[in-house]
Amino acid sequence: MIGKERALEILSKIVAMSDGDETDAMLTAKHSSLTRFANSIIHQNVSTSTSQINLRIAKGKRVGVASTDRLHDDESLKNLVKTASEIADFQEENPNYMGMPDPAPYQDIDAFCQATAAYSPAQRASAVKTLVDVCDKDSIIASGSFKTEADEVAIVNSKGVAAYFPSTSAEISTVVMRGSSSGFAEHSSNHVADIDVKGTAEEAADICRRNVDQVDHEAGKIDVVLHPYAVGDLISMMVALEFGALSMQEGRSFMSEKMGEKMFSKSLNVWDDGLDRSGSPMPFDFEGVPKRKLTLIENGVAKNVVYDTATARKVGKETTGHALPPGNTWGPIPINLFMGAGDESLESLVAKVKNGLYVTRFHYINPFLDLKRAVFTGMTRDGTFMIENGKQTKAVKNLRFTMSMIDAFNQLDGLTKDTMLVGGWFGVKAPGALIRGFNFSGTTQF
Amino acid sequence: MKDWLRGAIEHAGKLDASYADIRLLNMVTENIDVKNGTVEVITSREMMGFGIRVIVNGSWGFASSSLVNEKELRRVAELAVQIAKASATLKTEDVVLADTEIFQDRYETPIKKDPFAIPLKSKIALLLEADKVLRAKKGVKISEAGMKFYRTEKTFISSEGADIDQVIYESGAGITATAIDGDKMQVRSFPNSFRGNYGTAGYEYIENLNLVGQAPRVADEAVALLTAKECPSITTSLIIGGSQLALQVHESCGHPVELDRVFGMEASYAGTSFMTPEKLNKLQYGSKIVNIYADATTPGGLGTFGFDDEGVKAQRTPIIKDGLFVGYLTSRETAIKLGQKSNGAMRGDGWWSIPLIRMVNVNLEPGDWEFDDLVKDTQDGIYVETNKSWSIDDKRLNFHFGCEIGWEIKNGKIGDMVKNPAYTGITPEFWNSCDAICNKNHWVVWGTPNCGKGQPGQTAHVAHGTAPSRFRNVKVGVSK
Repeated sequence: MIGKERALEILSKIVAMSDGDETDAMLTAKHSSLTRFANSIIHQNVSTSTSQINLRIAKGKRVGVASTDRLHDDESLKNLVKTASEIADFQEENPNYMGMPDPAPYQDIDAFCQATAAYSPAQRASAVKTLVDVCDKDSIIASGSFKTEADEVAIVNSKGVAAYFPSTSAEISTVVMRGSSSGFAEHSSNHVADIDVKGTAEEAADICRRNVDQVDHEAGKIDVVLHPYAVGDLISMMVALEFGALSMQEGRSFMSEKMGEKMFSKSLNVWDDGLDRSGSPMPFDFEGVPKRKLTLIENGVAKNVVYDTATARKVGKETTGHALPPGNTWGPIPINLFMGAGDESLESLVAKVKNGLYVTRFHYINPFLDLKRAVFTGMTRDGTFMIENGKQTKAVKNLRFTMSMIDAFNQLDGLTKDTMLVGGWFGVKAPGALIRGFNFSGTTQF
Repeated sequence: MKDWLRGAIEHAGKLDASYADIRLLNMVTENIDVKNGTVEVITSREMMGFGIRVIVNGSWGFASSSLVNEKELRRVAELAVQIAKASATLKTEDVVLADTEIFQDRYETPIKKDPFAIPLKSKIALLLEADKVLRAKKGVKISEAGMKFYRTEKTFISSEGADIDQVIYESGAGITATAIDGDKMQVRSFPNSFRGNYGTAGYEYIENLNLVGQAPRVADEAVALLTAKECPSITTSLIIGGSQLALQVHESCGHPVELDRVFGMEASYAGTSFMTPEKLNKLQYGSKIVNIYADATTPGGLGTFGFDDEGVKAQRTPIIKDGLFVGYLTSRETAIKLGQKSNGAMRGDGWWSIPLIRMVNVNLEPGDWEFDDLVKDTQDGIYVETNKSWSIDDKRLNFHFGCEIGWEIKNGKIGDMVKNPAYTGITPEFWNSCDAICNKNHWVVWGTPNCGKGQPGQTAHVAHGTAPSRFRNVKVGVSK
């Protein structure tokens, strides 16, 4: 770990060297270890330490960005400043550059766990063995990964911003297989001690045991009950692509026309909150602006998009603290998402369906078919089951869906009261859901 | 420096490593993005570090660091050994590497113009000019142009005596016009979507693209798509343009023949493969005219190099021959399980990454058709160009692709433009329906600088040589 004092010292030194009117410097460091297993053995086991400084120098509205991972070398840091400064000199004026943010206090969040940061290869191997042993009892083969990571992010700018945040994360995910059957489970936390390895193995193995003798199922408009794994993928992709201010200002997002309109089921509530410890918290964005809770969808109405300094000042608003690192062209994006719960369980949602499907998760979702209608396509994977007369019955072969997510989340007919933190694009805490008339467009052979 | 690297390998050996290799990388990138007449981004990035891979007690360990000094090299070697020992607590058999020829050699991408020596002003001027031409078309709301360059200096040293230096240059550029009218939006790109086309080449590659000359057509098509009719939902003959066909090869042939995936090593993430070993030399993957080679020697291809990250020399390997499935992309660890030697497909995307089996240039060999003759020979059908979306199941069977643009073909002639074309199918059925491939005059190597695989995720630079081809009885127009 570089530590707060050293990180801010390096960045302050770089900012002081700049000849720009405004300068900000961001340091990110990652100490990541990942034990990967397949066929119930460890086949890839890696540890890596990476660190990078991104420097942005503004001369009027001419902006140069440079980065390096050689932060222990004074000469490289001098070159970094020289490169960014020269790029700014060469630049044309950028009317979209709106200056850097002023300093503001950010909330302290304790998201760092020493035990997670210090977790050893032997400990990860032992955890994987626990998972494999659960599967072995039923001759089920396990694949997956167990990652422990310590991250640091620090930001200093010439207007007085000085922010530092250390965090840790632990994630286990597994796909287990027996013959043509498979199951999936994942679990993540800031604290490695919270990872329920055995429970993760049992959840995946249970799906695998039931996912046998898959039968064909015709495509078409079908009522579906989606596990939070599946809901999380859909909602995080849709919100990330559609609820950023740049996408809206450029007219790429459906929010350009639909802000303030009821677009979805009234049971759909989505917000971004970098301060909520139950998600993947981060107290400030990549410009050092404090994060806060921001409602994006309320009772089905599209309420807000997220802003960084440039997109906010362009329209006379305040940034919401959603800047990405300098040099990106995506604009601001919500990365700490939460989707509101309902009052059902997965079982009670299934009980509401006469004929339908239960989907554990999706695979290879692509959201670019039609951004203005948020048309996504993807496959089901690792446990798709028929629902007959309110009960989960036979396993079915995987299907492809192709559907507008506006329509899908407008056809919500129930959410679970329990939510879980799932992968998605940036991590999202999501419930299970019942969606009526979900459009499956094709089938596959397994 | 090399003494330090050898010292780390020797240190790992003293700590019981039966095999060790080290890769030292010094990577420089430059990225310029122009949008709506403004230079949005110019970034320059330097990355230097090393990764050490060891086998101890028959299992792999890998560790890496960006701090390059003798003490850190020894620490990371020790960490790699420690990790390998942990791996060995959960194994069923020892890792065995196929024999390979050991090289002491040097390779450098042949380039005519060093892209990093071209003045920024010249590069910016070219992009701004292309951007201006795009915006000159009424209806184009967003014009974008970008270019990116990579220089990677790589040293590979192994405990078997390999000592290889490589310098790889990569260059690429592209333009995009986005036409928006209320809730309607259409995009056209050149030479390819998602940042253009890329190759292992110098700045001459950018000059040959003729971005400015192509910009009027790109802008016109983007605007015309707004009022074009929707692609019909039918089963018909489909002619696929080169860049879209490149992604088709990538997803439905390149990935499923990665032998690590076939052996289940990617099962937890991207999935497995329907092209299992018992199908080797038996599966009629495509029609008799389908020939696909993995070729890391294709001049200028983005998957072209001198040696892979196990020190195996770049080579050309048949994957599909006369439609028959005959080969895999392999590593030393996987090839030996089929009694073969590695064909040199192991690459990591940086010093921080363990090498995985990655595509090289996986090329569909040209056929003998002129494009105009192919259209004339097609009574009814759809012609599609340029990828917009892509998705395929976890065994690489059911695929779905969306394209930027399409045209109806009626009575052997290109007819009306159609918007939002998409098509779907099952891999072997689809490739067996291929009945025409255009000739070498239409054959282009399409570089893909964003191929994702592995955990932690890695992004490889790969390529596919293709020419427009025709497929029969394809389900088209399924983007609803």
